[in-house]
Amino acid sequence: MTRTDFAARVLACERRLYRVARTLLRSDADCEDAVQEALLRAWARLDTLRVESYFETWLIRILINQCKGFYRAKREHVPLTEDIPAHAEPDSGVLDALHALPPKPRVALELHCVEGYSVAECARILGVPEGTVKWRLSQGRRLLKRELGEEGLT
Amino acid sequence: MKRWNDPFPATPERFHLRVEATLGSLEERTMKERHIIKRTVILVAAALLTLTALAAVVGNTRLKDALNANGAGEVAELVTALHADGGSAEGFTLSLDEYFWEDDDLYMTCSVAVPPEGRYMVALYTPTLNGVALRYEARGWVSPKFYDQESPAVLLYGGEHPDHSTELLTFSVDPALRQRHDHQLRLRAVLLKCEAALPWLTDFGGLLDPPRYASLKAAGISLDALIEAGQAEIVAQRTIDAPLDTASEQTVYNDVAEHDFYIRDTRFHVDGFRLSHTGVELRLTVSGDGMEQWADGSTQLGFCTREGRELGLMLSAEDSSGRIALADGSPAYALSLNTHALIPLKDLEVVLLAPVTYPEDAQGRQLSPVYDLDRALVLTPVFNEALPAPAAPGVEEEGEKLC
Repeated sequence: MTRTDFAARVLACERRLYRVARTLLRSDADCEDAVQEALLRAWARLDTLRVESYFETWLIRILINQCKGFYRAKREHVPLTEDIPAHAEPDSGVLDALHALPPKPRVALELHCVEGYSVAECARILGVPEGTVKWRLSQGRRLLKRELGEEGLT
Repeated sequence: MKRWNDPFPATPERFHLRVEATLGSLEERTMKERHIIKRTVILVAAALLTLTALAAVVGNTRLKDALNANGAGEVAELVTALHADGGSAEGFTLSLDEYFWEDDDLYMTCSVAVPPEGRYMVALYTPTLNGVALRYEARGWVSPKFYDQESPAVLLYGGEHPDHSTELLTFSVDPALRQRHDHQLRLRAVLLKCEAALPWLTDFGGLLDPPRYASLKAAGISLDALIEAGQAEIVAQRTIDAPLDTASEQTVYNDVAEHDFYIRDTRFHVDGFRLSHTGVELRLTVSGDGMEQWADGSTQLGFCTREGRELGLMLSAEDSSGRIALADGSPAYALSLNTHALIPLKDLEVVLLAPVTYPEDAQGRQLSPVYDLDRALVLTPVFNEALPAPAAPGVEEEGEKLC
Protein backbone atom coordinates (compact mmCIF):
# COMPACT_ATOMS: atom_id res chain seq x y z
CA MET A 1 0.00 0.00 0.00
CA THR A 2 1.46 3.33 -1.00
CA ARG A 3 1.29 6.46 1.07
CA THR A 4 -1.27 7.84 -1.34
CA ASP A 5 -3.45 4.76 -0.92
CA PHE A 6 -3.08 4.93 2.83
CA ALA A 7 -4.06 8.60 2.91
CA ALA A 8 -7.06 8.01 0.69
CA ARG A 9 -8.33 5.22 2.90
CA VAL A 10 -7.84 7.27 6.03
CA LEU A 11 -9.71 10.24 4.61
CA ALA A 12 -12.52 7.96 3.50
CA CYS A 13 -13.11 6.91 7.10
CA GLU A 14 -12.21 10.20 8.77
CA ARG A 15 -15.70 10.79 10.11
CA ARG A 16 -15.72 7.32 11.58
CA LEU A 17 -12.36 7.90 13.24
CA TYR A 18 -13.69 11.07 14.81
CA ARG A 19 -16.77 9.36 16.21
CA VAL A 20 -14.80 6.44 17.66
CA ALA A 21 -12.31 8.78 19.31
CA ARG A 22 -15.11 10.97 20.56
CA THR A 23 -16.77 7.97 22.12
CA LEU A 24 -13.81 7.43 24.40
CA LEU A 25 -12.47 10.94 24.71
CA ARG A 26 -14.67 13.91 25.40
CA SER A 27 -12.16 16.55 24.37
CA ASP A 28 -11.73 17.34 20.68
CA ALA A 29 -8.11 18.20 21.37
CA ASP A 30 -7.49 14.74 22.81
CA CYS A 31 -9.28 13.19 19.82
CA GLU A 32 -6.90 15.00 17.48
CA ASP A 33 -3.85 13.83 19.40
CA ALA A 34 -5.10 10.26 19.61
CA VAL A 35 -5.91 10.06 15.92
CA GLN A 36 -2.56 11.56 14.98
CA GLU A 37 -0.72 8.98 17.04
CA ALA A 38 -2.92 6.22 15.69
CA LEU A 39 -2.19 7.21 12.09
CA LEU A 40 1.52 7.38 12.72
CA ARG A 41 1.48 4.02 14.45
CA ALA A 42 -0.64 2.46 11.72
CA TRP A 43 1.69 3.73 9.02
CA ALA A 44 4.72 2.42 10.88
CA ARG A 45 3.09 -0.97 11.42
CA LEU A 46 1.44 -1.38 8.06
CA ASP A 47 3.12 -4.76 7.73
CA THR A 48 0.84 -6.11 10.44
CA LEU A 49 -2.19 -5.58 8.20
CA ARG A 50 -2.54 -8.97 6.60
CA VAL A 51 -5.67 -8.41 4.55
CA GLU A 52 -6.11 -5.00 2.96
CA SER A 53 -9.88 -5.24 3.01
CA TYR A 54 -9.68 -5.14 6.81
CA PHE A 55 -7.88 -1.79 6.75
CA GLU A 56 -10.62 0.20 8.39
CA THR A 57 -11.30 -2.21 11.24
CA TRP A 58 -7.56 -2.60 11.77
CA LEU A 59 -7.07 1.17 11.94
CA ILE A 60 -9.96 1.61 14.33
CA ARG A 61 -8.50 -1.01 16.60
CA ILE A 62 -5.24 0.92 16.72
CA LEU A 63 -7.17 4.09 17.42
CA ILE A 64 -9.12 2.51 20.26
CA ASN A 65 -5.88 1.38 21.88
CA GLN A 66 -4.50 4.90 21.58
CA CYS A 67 -7.64 6.36 23.11
CA LYS A 68 -7.47 3.91 25.99
CA GLY A 69 -4.01 5.20 26.76
CA PHE A 70 -5.35 8.75 26.86
CA TYR A 71 -8.32 7.67 28.94
CA ARG A 72 -6.17 5.93 31.51
CA ALA A 73 -3.80 8.84 31.68
CA LYS A 74 -6.47 11.42 32.23
CA ARG A 75 -9.22 9.54 34.11
CA GLU A 76 -11.41 12.55 34.20
CA HIS A 77 -14.74 13.61 32.88
CA VAL A 78 -14.34 16.50 30.54
CA PRO A 79 -17.50 18.56 30.36
CA LEU A 80 -19.22 18.18 27.07
CA THR A 81 -19.21 21.90 26.49
CA GLU A 82 -15.43 22.03 26.31
CA ASP A 83 -14.03 22.52 22.81
CA ILE A 84 -17.35 22.32 21.05
CA PRO A 85 -19.62 25.06 19.84
CA ALA A 86 -21.84 26.67 22.42
CA HIS A 87 -25.13 25.75 20.83
CA ALA A 88 -26.96 22.81 22.31
CA GLU A 89 -26.96 19.77 20.07
CA PRO A 90 -30.37 18.17 19.79
CA ASP A 91 -28.80 14.79 20.44
CA SER A 92 -26.47 15.84 23.23
CA GLY A 93 -28.71 13.94 25.66
CA VAL A 94 -27.89 10.73 23.83
CA LEU A 95 -24.21 11.57 23.67
CA ASP A 96 -24.14 12.42 27.37
CA ALA A 97 -25.89 9.17 28.19
CA LEU A 98 -23.45 7.30 25.99
CA HIS A 99 -20.52 8.89 27.74
CA ALA A 100 -21.97 7.90 31.10
CA LEU A 101 -21.55 4.24 30.21
CA PRO A 102 -18.46 2.27 31.12
CA PRO A 103 -15.97 2.28 28.24
CA LYS A 104 -16.44 -1.30 27.04
CA PRO A 105 -20.20 -1.28 26.42
CA ARG A 106 -19.88 2.33 25.22
CA VAL A 107 -17.42 1.45 22.48
CA ALA A 108 -19.38 -1.65 21.50
CA LEU A 109 -22.55 0.44 21.07
CA GLU A 110 -20.74 3.07 19.04
CA LEU A 111 -19.17 0.57 16.70
CA HIS A 112 -22.33 -1.48 16.19
CA CYS A 113 -25.14 1.06 16.44
CA VAL A 114 -23.51 4.20 15.04
CA GLU A 115 -20.83 2.88 12.70
CA GLY A 116 -22.91 -0.12 11.65
CA TYR A 117 -20.24 -2.77 12.09
CA SER A 118 -21.54 -6.29 12.43
CA VAL A 119 -20.99 -8.23 15.62
CA ALA A 120 -18.25 -10.18 13.87
CA GLU A 121 -16.53 -6.98 12.76
CA CYS A 122 -16.81 -5.52 16.24
CA ALA A 123 -15.26 -8.68 17.64
CA ARG A 124 -12.36 -8.34 15.23
CA ILE A 125 -11.84 -4.67 16.08
CA LEU A 126 -11.99 -5.22 19.80
CA GLY A 127 -10.14 -8.51 19.81
CA VAL A 128 -12.78 -10.35 21.84
CA PRO A 129 -15.18 -13.21 21.11
CA GLU A 130 -18.47 -12.43 19.40
CA GLY A 131 -20.33 -13.53 22.48
CA THR A 132 -18.54 -10.90 24.49
CA VAL A 133 -19.55 -8.26 21.96
CA LYS A 134 -23.17 -9.32 22.21
CA TRP A 135 -23.00 -9.19 25.97
CA ARG A 136 -21.48 -5.70 25.93
CA LEU A 137 -24.14 -4.53 23.49
CA SER A 138 -26.90 -5.91 25.63
CA GLN A 139 -25.51 -4.35 28.78
CA GLY A 140 -24.87 -1.11 26.99
CA ARG A 141 -28.42 -0.86 25.66
CA ARG A 142 -29.87 -1.55 29.06
CA LEU A 143 -27.63 0.98 30.72
CA LEU A 144 -28.47 3.52 28.06
CA LYS A 145 -32.16 2.98 28.58
CA ARG A 146 -31.71 3.53 32.30
CA GLU A 147 -29.74 6.69 31.73
CA LEU A 148 -32.36 8.03 29.39
CA GLY A 149 -35.13 7.33 31.84
CA GLU A 150 -36.69 4.35 30.14
CA GLU A 151 -36.79 2.06 33.15
CA GLY A 152 -37.43 2.38 36.84
CA LEU A 153 -37.46 -0.20 39.56
CA THR A 154 -39.14 -3.36 38.36
CA MET B 1 -30.45 -4.05 13.11
CA LYS B 2 -31.44 -0.47 12.53
CA ARG B 3 -28.59 1.96 13.01
CA TRP B 4 -28.93 5.00 15.19
CA ASN B 5 -29.09 8.44 13.76
CA ASP B 6 -25.70 10.01 14.27
CA PRO B 7 -25.72 11.64 17.73
CA PHE B 8 -22.23 13.05 17.43
CA PRO B 9 -21.40 16.65 16.61
CA ALA B 10 -20.02 17.47 13.18
CA THR B 11 -16.39 16.62 12.61
CA PRO B 12 -14.48 19.77 13.55
CA GLU B 13 -12.51 21.44 10.82
CA ARG B 14 -9.53 21.40 13.12
CA PHE B 15 -9.72 17.63 13.34
CA HIS B 16 -9.74 17.30 9.57
CA LEU B 17 -6.77 19.64 9.21
CA ARG B 18 -4.82 17.62 11.75
CA VAL B 19 -5.55 14.39 9.89
CA GLU B 20 -4.46 15.93 6.63
CA ALA B 21 -1.34 17.39 8.18
CA THR B 22 -0.46 14.02 9.71
CA LEU B 23 -0.96 12.23 6.42
CA GLY B 24 1.13 14.83 4.66
CA SER B 25 3.94 14.29 7.11
CA LEU B 26 4.21 10.57 6.51
CA GLU B 27 7.45 9.56 5.01
CA GLU B 28 7.57 6.79 2.47
CA ARG B 29 8.00 3.56 4.33
CA THR B 30 11.57 3.18 3.26
CA MET B 31 12.46 6.04 5.60
CA LYS B 32 12.92 5.19 9.26
CA GLU B 33 12.49 8.56 10.79
CA ARG B 34 9.06 10.11 11.22
CA HIS B 35 8.07 13.64 11.90
CA ILE B 36 5.78 14.57 14.69
CA ILE B 37 3.44 17.38 13.82
CA LYS B 38 2.92 19.93 16.46
CA ARG B 39 -0.64 20.60 17.26
CA THR B 40 -2.11 23.22 15.01
CA VAL B 41 -4.14 25.58 16.98
CA ILE B 42 -7.02 26.94 15.05
CA LEU B 43 -9.30 29.29 16.71
CA VAL B 44 -12.86 28.40 16.05
CA ALA B 45 -15.43 31.01 16.58
CA ALA B 46 -18.03 29.83 19.03
CA ALA B 47 -21.43 29.38 17.49
CA LEU B 48 -23.92 31.82 18.88
CA LEU B 49 -27.37 30.97 19.96
CA THR B 50 -29.79 31.95 17.30
CA LEU B 51 -32.57 34.32 18.09
CA THR B 52 -35.03 31.54 17.81
CA ALA B 53 -33.11 29.29 20.17
CA LEU B 54 -34.40 29.58 23.68
CA ALA B 55 -32.12 30.40 26.56
CA ALA B 56 -30.69 27.67 28.75
CA VAL B 57 -32.72 27.01 31.81
CA VAL B 58 -31.93 29.46 34.52
CA GLY B 59 -34.98 31.59 34.87
CA ASN B 60 -38.07 29.53 35.23
CA THR B 61 -39.07 32.68 37.03
CA ARG B 62 -42.73 32.49 36.34
CA LEU B 63 -42.90 28.88 37.29
CA LYS B 64 -40.63 29.34 40.28
CA ASP B 65 -42.70 32.19 41.60
CA ALA B 66 -45.85 30.20 41.10
CA LEU B 67 -44.45 27.21 42.90
CA ASN B 68 -42.65 28.93 45.72
CA ALA B 69 -44.85 27.44 48.38
CA ASN B 70 -43.69 26.80 51.91
CA GLY B 71 -46.67 25.29 53.62
CA ALA B 72 -49.57 23.00 52.94
CA GLY B 73 -52.06 25.84 52.88
CA GLU B 74 -50.13 27.77 50.29
CA VAL B 75 -49.64 24.62 48.29
CA ALA B 76 -53.35 23.92 48.28
CA GLU B 77 -54.08 27.46 47.14
CA LEU B 78 -51.50 27.20 44.43
CA VAL B 79 -52.88 23.91 43.23
CA THR B 80 -56.22 25.54 42.90
CA ALA B 81 -54.77 28.60 41.23
CA LEU B 82 -52.81 26.55 38.74
CA HIS B 83 -55.75 24.58 37.46
CA ALA B 84 -56.22 25.71 33.92
CA ASP B 85 -59.71 25.94 32.51
CA GLY B 86 -60.81 22.50 31.54
CA GLY B 87 -57.74 20.96 33.07
CA SER B 88 -58.18 18.25 35.61
CA ALA B 89 -55.77 17.12 38.25
CA GLU B 90 -57.74 13.98 38.88
CA GLY B 91 -55.54 11.01 38.15
CA PHE B 92 -52.31 12.91 38.75
CA THR B 93 -50.48 11.30 41.64
CA LEU B 94 -47.02 11.48 43.09
CA SER B 95 -45.92 9.04 45.77
CA LEU B 96 -42.80 8.13 47.65
CA ASP B 97 -42.82 4.33 47.61
CA GLU B 98 -39.78 3.30 49.56
CA TYR B 99 -36.35 4.47 50.49
CA PHE B 100 -33.30 3.34 52.36
CA TRP B 101 -29.95 4.72 53.36
CA GLU B 102 -26.67 3.05 52.63
CA ASP B 103 -24.27 5.16 54.67
CA ASP B 104 -24.47 8.58 52.97
CA ASP B 105 -26.24 7.35 49.85
CA LEU B 106 -30.01 7.66 49.68
CA TYR B 107 -32.02 5.38 47.42
CA MET B 108 -35.69 6.04 46.83
CA THR B 109 -38.39 5.04 44.45
CA CYS B 110 -41.21 7.36 43.60
CA SER B 111 -44.19 6.76 41.38
CA VAL B 112 -45.98 9.15 39.08
CA ALA B 113 -49.33 8.66 37.39
CA VAL B 114 -51.20 10.98 35.04
CA PRO B 115 -54.82 11.10 33.91
CA PRO B 116 -55.64 8.34 31.44
CA GLU B 117 -56.42 10.55 28.44
CA GLY B 118 -54.13 13.00 26.74
CA ARG B 119 -50.42 13.72 26.51
CA TYR B 120 -48.65 15.12 29.50
CA MET B 121 -45.28 16.20 30.76
CA VAL B 122 -44.40 15.83 34.39
CA ALA B 123 -41.69 18.16 35.60
CA LEU B 124 -39.93 16.45 38.48
CA TYR B 125 -37.93 18.90 40.54
CA THR B 126 -34.72 18.00 42.29
CA PRO B 127 -35.75 16.69 45.70
CA THR B 128 -34.51 18.55 48.72
CA LEU B 129 -33.44 17.30 52.10
CA ASN B 130 -33.85 19.85 54.88
CA GLY B 131 -34.09 22.49 52.19
CA VAL B 132 -30.87 21.45 50.46
CA ALA B 133 -31.13 20.20 46.89
CA LEU B 134 -29.87 16.65 46.63
CA ARG B 135 -27.05 15.66 44.36
CA TYR B 136 -27.80 12.97 41.80
CA GLU B 137 -24.89 10.76 42.47
CA ALA B 138 -24.46 7.59 44.42
CA ARG B 139 -21.54 5.22 44.57
CA GLY B 140 -19.60 7.32 42.10
CA TRP B 141 -22.27 7.17 39.41
CA VAL B 142 -23.54 10.54 38.29
CA SER B 143 -26.85 10.37 36.58
CA PRO B 144 -27.11 12.77 33.67
CA LYS B 145 -30.87 12.92 33.96
CA PHE B 146 -30.89 16.05 36.01
CA TYR B 147 -28.22 18.31 34.67
CA ASP B 148 -29.08 21.27 36.72
CA GLN B 149 -30.27 21.57 40.28
CA GLU B 150 -32.64 24.35 39.27
CA SER B 151 -34.32 23.08 36.14
CA PRO B 152 -36.67 20.15 36.39
CA ALA B 153 -36.37 16.93 34.51
CA VAL B 154 -39.31 16.39 32.22
CA LEU B 155 -40.86 12.99 31.81
CA LEU B 156 -43.40 12.29 29.13
CA TYR B 157 -46.62 10.41 29.72
CA GLY B 158 -49.65 9.45 27.72
CA GLY B 159 -49.93 8.97 24.00
CA GLU B 160 -47.22 6.52 22.96
CA HIS B 161 -45.81 6.60 26.51
CA PRO B 162 -47.20 4.84 29.57
CA ASP B 163 -49.44 6.78 31.92
CA HIS B 164 -47.57 5.80 35.03
CA SER B 165 -44.05 4.90 36.05
CA THR B 166 -41.83 4.24 39.00
CA GLU B 167 -38.57 6.13 39.08
CA LEU B 168 -35.50 5.06 40.97
CA LEU B 169 -33.61 8.06 42.29
CA THR B 170 -30.21 7.82 43.92
CA PHE B 171 -28.42 10.54 45.77
CA SER B 172 -25.21 11.14 47.58
CA VAL B 173 -25.78 13.29 50.66
CA ASP B 174 -23.26 15.60 52.20
CA PRO B 175 -21.94 13.92 55.38
CA ALA B 176 -22.62 17.03 57.44
CA LEU B 177 -26.26 16.96 56.42
CA ARG B 178 -26.42 13.24 56.93
CA GLN B 179 -25.38 13.57 60.54
CA ARG B 180 -28.39 15.64 61.46
CA HIS B 181 -31.02 14.05 63.66
CA ASP B 182 -33.88 14.97 61.40
CA HIS B 183 -34.22 14.42 57.68
CA GLN B 184 -37.07 16.20 55.98
CA LEU B 185 -37.51 15.28 52.33
CA ARG B 186 -39.50 17.32 49.83
CA LEU B 187 -40.57 15.93 46.47
CA ARG B 188 -42.34 18.17 44.00
CA ALA B 189 -43.81 17.50 40.58
CA VAL B 190 -45.82 19.62 38.19
CA LEU B 191 -48.25 18.24 35.65
CA LEU B 192 -48.33 19.97 32.29
CA LYS B 193 -50.64 19.17 29.45
CA CYS B 194 -49.22 19.13 25.94
CA GLU B 195 -51.25 17.74 23.13
CA ALA B 196 -48.86 18.44 20.30
CA ALA B 197 -45.92 16.21 19.56
CA LEU B 198 -42.68 17.66 20.84
CA PRO B 199 -40.33 18.22 17.90
CA TRP B 200 -37.27 18.73 20.01
CA LEU B 201 -37.16 15.18 21.21
CA THR B 202 -34.22 13.16 20.01
CA ASP B 203 -34.89 10.63 17.30
CA PHE B 204 -33.19 7.41 18.25
CA GLY B 205 -33.83 5.83 14.90
CA GLY B 206 -36.09 3.17 16.27
CA LEU B 207 -33.45 1.43 18.29
CA LEU B 208 -35.06 2.39 21.54
CA ASP B 209 -38.69 2.82 22.38
CA PRO B 210 -39.91 6.39 22.04
CA PRO B 211 -37.97 8.30 24.70
CA ARG B 212 -40.05 9.35 27.65
CA TYR B 213 -37.47 11.52 29.25
CA ALA B 214 -36.17 14.79 27.94
CA SER B 215 -33.68 17.23 29.32
CA LEU B 216 -34.91 20.73 28.70
CA LYS B 217 -31.50 22.13 29.40
CA ALA B 218 -29.79 19.93 26.83
CA ALA B 219 -32.36 21.02 24.27
CA GLY B 220 -31.82 24.65 25.20
CA ILE B 221 -35.43 25.11 26.17
CA SER B 222 -36.97 26.48 29.35
CA LEU B 223 -40.24 25.39 30.83
CA ASP B 224 -41.48 28.98 30.88
CA ALA B 225 -40.76 29.30 27.19
CA LEU B 226 -42.71 26.16 26.42
CA ILE B 227 -45.66 27.51 28.37
CA GLU B 228 -45.45 30.94 26.75
CA ALA B 229 -45.26 29.35 23.33
CA GLY B 230 -48.43 27.45 24.06
CA GLN B 231 -46.73 24.09 23.81
CA ALA B 232 -47.47 23.18 27.41
CA GLU B 233 -50.01 24.19 30.00
CA ILE B 234 -49.70 23.84 33.78
CA VAL B 235 -52.49 21.71 35.14
CA ALA B 236 -51.54 20.89 38.70
CA GLN B 237 -48.72 20.21 41.08
CA ARG B 238 -48.08 17.73 43.83
CA THR B 239 -45.74 18.09 46.76
CA ILE B 240 -44.70 15.51 49.31
CA ASP B 241 -43.06 16.45 52.57
CA ALA B 242 -41.82 13.36 54.34
CA PRO B 243 -39.66 12.84 57.42
CA LEU B 244 -37.11 10.13 56.75
CA ASP B 245 -35.62 7.73 59.23
CA THR B 246 -31.97 8.43 59.59
CA ALA B 247 -30.70 4.93 60.27
CA SER B 248 -28.68 3.20 57.60
CA GLU B 249 -30.52 0.08 56.55
CA GLN B 250 -27.90 -1.66 54.57
CA THR B 251 -28.58 -5.34 54.48
CA VAL B 252 -25.66 -7.47 53.59
CA TYR B 253 -25.22 -11.19 53.26
CA ASN B 254 -21.62 -12.28 53.43
CA ASP B 255 -21.84 -16.03 52.95
CA VAL B 256 -23.86 -18.84 51.39
CA ALA B 257 -25.44 -21.86 53.00
CA GLU B 258 -23.79 -24.37 50.66
CA HIS B 259 -20.30 -23.87 49.30
CA ASP B 260 -19.82 -26.82 46.97
CA PHE B 261 -21.67 -27.54 43.76
CA TYR B 262 -21.27 -30.16 41.10
CA ILE B 263 -22.23 -29.77 37.49
CA ARG B 264 -21.43 -32.97 35.66
CA ASP B 265 -17.88 -33.78 36.74
CA THR B 266 -16.91 -30.27 37.65
CA ARG B 267 -16.75 -29.05 41.22
CA PHE B 268 -17.43 -25.40 41.99
CA HIS B 269 -16.42 -24.09 45.39
CA VAL B 270 -17.64 -20.73 46.68
CA ASP B 271 -14.73 -18.91 48.27
CA GLY B 272 -16.46 -15.62 48.86
CA PHE B 273 -19.87 -14.06 48.55
CA ARG B 274 -21.47 -10.72 49.24
CA LEU B 275 -25.00 -9.56 48.51
CA SER B 276 -26.55 -6.18 49.24
CA HIS B 277 -29.29 -4.01 47.79
CA THR B 278 -26.90 -2.76 45.17
CA GLY B 279 -24.66 -5.59 44.12
CA VAL B 280 -23.44 -9.15 44.19
CA GLU B 281 -19.89 -10.40 44.41
CA LEU B 282 -18.84 -13.99 44.06
CA ARG B 283 -15.57 -15.81 43.96
CA LEU B 284 -15.34 -19.40 42.80
CA THR B 285 -12.63 -21.97 42.41
CA VAL B 286 -13.28 -24.59 39.83
CA SER B 287 -11.83 -28.07 39.69
CA GLY B 288 -11.58 -29.50 36.23
CA ASP B 289 -12.21 -27.83 32.91
CA GLY B 290 -15.93 -27.51 33.40
CA MET B 291 -15.86 -23.72 33.32
CA GLU B 292 -15.26 -23.62 29.58
CA GLN B 293 -18.05 -26.12 29.00
CA TRP B 294 -20.34 -24.22 31.31
CA ALA B 295 -19.86 -20.79 29.77
CA ASP B 296 -17.66 -20.32 26.72
CA GLY B 297 -17.00 -17.23 24.63
CA SER B 298 -20.47 -17.25 23.15
CA THR B 299 -22.27 -17.62 26.47
CA GLN B 300 -21.95 -15.35 29.43
CA LEU B 301 -22.75 -15.81 33.09
CA GLY B 302 -25.30 -13.77 34.92
CA PHE B 303 -27.08 -13.51 38.25
CA CYS B 304 -30.81 -14.07 38.28
CA THR B 305 -33.72 -15.05 40.50
CA ARG B 306 -35.16 -18.53 40.77
CA GLU B 307 -37.64 -17.55 38.05
CA GLY B 308 -34.91 -16.46 35.67
CA ARG B 309 -35.36 -12.72 36.12
CA GLU B 310 -32.08 -10.88 35.93
CA LEU B 311 -30.95 -9.09 39.05
CA GLY B 312 -29.18 -6.29 37.30
CA LEU B 313 -26.42 -5.46 34.92
CA MET B 314 -23.12 -7.27 35.16
CA LEU B 315 -20.61 -4.51 34.83
CA SER B 316 -17.48 -6.02 36.22
CA ALA B 317 -17.31 -9.45 34.64
CA GLU B 318 -15.82 -9.03 31.23
CA ASP B 319 -16.79 -12.46 30.01
CA SER B 320 -17.21 -15.87 31.45
CA SER B 321 -13.53 -16.19 32.18
CA GLY B 322 -13.13 -13.54 34.86
CA ARG B 323 -10.15 -15.37 36.19
CA ILE B 324 -8.09 -14.06 39.00
CA ALA B 325 -4.85 -15.66 39.98
CA LEU B 326 -4.62 -17.04 43.46
CA ALA B 327 -1.34 -17.17 45.33
CA ASP B 328 -0.97 -20.91 44.77
CA GLY B 329 -1.64 -20.51 41.06
CA SER B 330 -4.90 -22.41 41.04
CA PRO B 331 -7.59 -20.81 38.92
CA ALA B 332 -10.39 -18.85 40.50
CA TYR B 333 -13.18 -16.86 39.00
CA ALA B 334 -14.38 -13.52 40.21
CA LEU B 335 -17.71 -12.19 39.10
CA SER B 336 -19.50 -9.14 40.34
CA LEU B 337 -22.73 -7.42 39.57
CA ASN B 338 -22.90 -3.72 40.20
CA THR B 339 -26.38 -2.51 39.53
CA HIS B 340 -28.26 0.73 39.70
CA ALA B 341 -31.56 -0.91 40.07
CA LEU B 342 -32.27 -2.21 43.55
CA ILE B 343 -31.98 -5.88 44.31
CA PRO B 344 -35.17 -6.91 46.10
CA LEU B 345 -33.54 -8.58 49.08
CA LYS B 346 -36.74 -9.15 51.03
CA ASP B 347 -38.17 -11.21 48.14
CA LEU B 348 -34.98 -13.06 47.37
CA GLU B 349 -34.41 -16.49 48.90
CA VAL B 350 -31.76 -17.62 46.48
CA VAL B 351 -29.48 -16.09 43.88
CA LEU B 352 -28.66 -18.09 40.78
CA LEU B 353 -25.52 -17.87 38.71
CA ALA B 354 -26.37 -19.27 35.30
CA PRO B 355 -25.24 -19.22 31.68
CA VAL B 356 -27.17 -16.54 29.83
CA THR B 357 -27.78 -15.84 26.18
CA TYR B 358 -29.19 -12.76 24.49
CA PRO B 359 -31.54 -13.71 21.64
CA GLU B 360 -32.57 -11.28 18.94
CA ASP B 361 -35.76 -10.98 16.96
CA ALA B 362 -35.99 -10.92 13.17
CA GLN B 363 -35.26 -7.17 13.13
CA GLY B 364 -32.11 -7.61 15.15
CA ARG B 365 -33.57 -6.16 18.33
CA GLN B 366 -32.37 -7.84 21.49
CA LEU B 367 -34.97 -9.69 23.46
CA SER B 368 -34.91 -10.37 27.17
CA PRO B 369 -31.95 -12.45 28.34
CA VAL B 370 -32.51 -16.18 28.71
CA TYR B 371 -30.94 -17.93 31.71
CA ASP B 372 -30.22 -21.64 31.63
CA LEU B 373 -31.70 -22.45 35.02
CA ASP B 374 -30.98 -26.16 34.68
CA ARG B 375 -27.26 -25.42 34.77
CA ALA B 376 -27.33 -22.77 37.46
CA LEU B 377 -25.51 -22.60 40.75
CA VAL B 378 -28.19 -21.96 43.35
CA LEU B 379 -26.76 -19.78 46.09
CA THR B 380 -28.61 -19.28 49.37
CA PRO B 381 -27.43 -16.04 50.98
CA VAL B 382 -26.79 -16.06 54.71
CA PHE B 383 -25.09 -13.78 57.17
CA ASN B 384 -22.17 -15.44 58.90
CA GLU B 385 -21.17 -13.69 62.10
CA ALA B 386 -17.89 -15.57 62.17
CA LEU B 387 -16.77 -13.79 59.04
CA PRO B 388 -15.60 -10.17 59.19
CA ALA B 389 -18.33 -7.66 58.39
CA PRO B 390 -17.97 -6.47 54.81
CA ALA B 391 -17.27 -2.80 54.19
CA ALA B 392 -19.87 -0.57 52.60
CA PRO B 393 -19.56 0.03 48.86
CA GLY B 394 -16.93 2.57 47.94
CA VAL B 395 -15.10 2.21 51.22
CA GLU B 396 -11.48 1.21 50.99
CA GLU B 397 -10.86 -1.88 52.99
CA GLU B 398 -7.61 -3.41 54.00
CA GLY B 399 -6.61 -6.64 52.46
CA GLU B 400 -7.77 -8.19 49.25
CA LYS B 401 -11.05 -7.03 47.86
CA LEU B 402 -13.44 -9.87 47.33
CA CYS B 403 -13.71 -9.29 43.59
